[in-house]
Amino acid sequence: MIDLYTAATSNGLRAAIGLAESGLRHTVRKIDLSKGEQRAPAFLKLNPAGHIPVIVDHGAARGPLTLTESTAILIYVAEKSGRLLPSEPDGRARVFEALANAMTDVYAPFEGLMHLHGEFGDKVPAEVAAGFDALVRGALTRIDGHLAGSEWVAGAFSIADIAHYCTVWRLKTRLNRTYPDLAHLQRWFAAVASRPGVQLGTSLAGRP
Amino acid sequence: MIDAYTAATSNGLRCAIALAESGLRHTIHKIDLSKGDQKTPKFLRMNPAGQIPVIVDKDAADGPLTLTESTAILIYVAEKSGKLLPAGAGPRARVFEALATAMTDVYAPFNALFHIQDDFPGKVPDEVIADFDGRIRAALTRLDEKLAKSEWVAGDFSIADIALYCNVWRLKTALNRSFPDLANLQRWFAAIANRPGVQLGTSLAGRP
Repeated sequence: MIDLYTAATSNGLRAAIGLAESGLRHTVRKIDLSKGEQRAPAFLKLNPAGHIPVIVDHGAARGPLTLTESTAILIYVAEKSGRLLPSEPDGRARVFEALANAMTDVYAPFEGLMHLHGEFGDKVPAEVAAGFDALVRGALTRIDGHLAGSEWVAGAFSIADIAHYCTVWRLKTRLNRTYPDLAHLQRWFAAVASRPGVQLGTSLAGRP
Repeated sequence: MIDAYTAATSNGLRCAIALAESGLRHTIHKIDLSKGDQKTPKFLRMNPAGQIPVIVDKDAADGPLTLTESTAILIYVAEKSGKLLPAGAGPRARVFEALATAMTDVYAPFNALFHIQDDFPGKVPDEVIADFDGRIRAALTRLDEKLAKSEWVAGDFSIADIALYCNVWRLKTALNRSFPDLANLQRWFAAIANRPGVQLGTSLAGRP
């Protein structure tokens, strides 16, 4: 049994969907970020950084394993379940390439944008925010081009789709960035959103 | 034989050092970013995003494999060589956790600072820059505390050390951020810089 401590952010949703899609037995425990539950002593014992998500795998080989970082949780869940990540080197390389693309090329400017808007909205010139927006759009446009010729971002549905989906979901729900002109991205986003595992993970993580 | 197309950035150095440390046979081809070598038709055929690093593994199982994204290259090289990434689920999770810290918690604000310095000099209030700096320092301080008790960031020397080292190296060489008060981080940084594989990779990637 795996316990997941999470919330409805891009990082939190990544872990919730990864677990739901893996088929591994797990329990989702919501952390209310608005109440500062991620700073409570009980939570800081799980992750001194005070960040969600965290998993505790009570069925790990050498005793309970506590793991942080949504990207690491995605890889752990995939390798433990044998799903969402191919075993042969070429297929794996393509998934890790798309996963890295999600967590650096898209996530870095997305996080910059969240930060600029959330904390310094009126103090940052519009052209600076536009610069970060352009970086996000550039990365998503390349993904859109890739999705013109394939159903998912790297071979079969994988942790790379989950990683990207949660960032695009958060861009939409939190920053109102929707990219309606990227038709292949929209088709892919709708297909991911309609998966039962994605719906289960999203409902358990809670509302944004 | 693996051909690596790279330059002396944090992403480029990550690839060059990992190959040198892996012991895999490879050739480094320097890409001169100041001359726009990453935007030539020949380079864009390997990576339409026009970004270094790229590797081409001519001996991959299914024929030549072209791979982008430094994080994906680190994992590919580690899995192919059987070095720099443990096989056991628990220790492996710790390496991916530290790798994710390097590529999201440290890399995202580092990338934002780079973007602001290069594209919007003088246009972002000091308090906003200080806040991005604060995020980097918070992540590096947590690593410093971990390094007080362990030689490397996650078990044995691994791709997580390489990923993080290249960020800290770039913060120092390109952004003049050196964190002299984080003594454990400094000890760890010096130990990595002394490794023959790291020196070889750094010299082949060229000057920053």
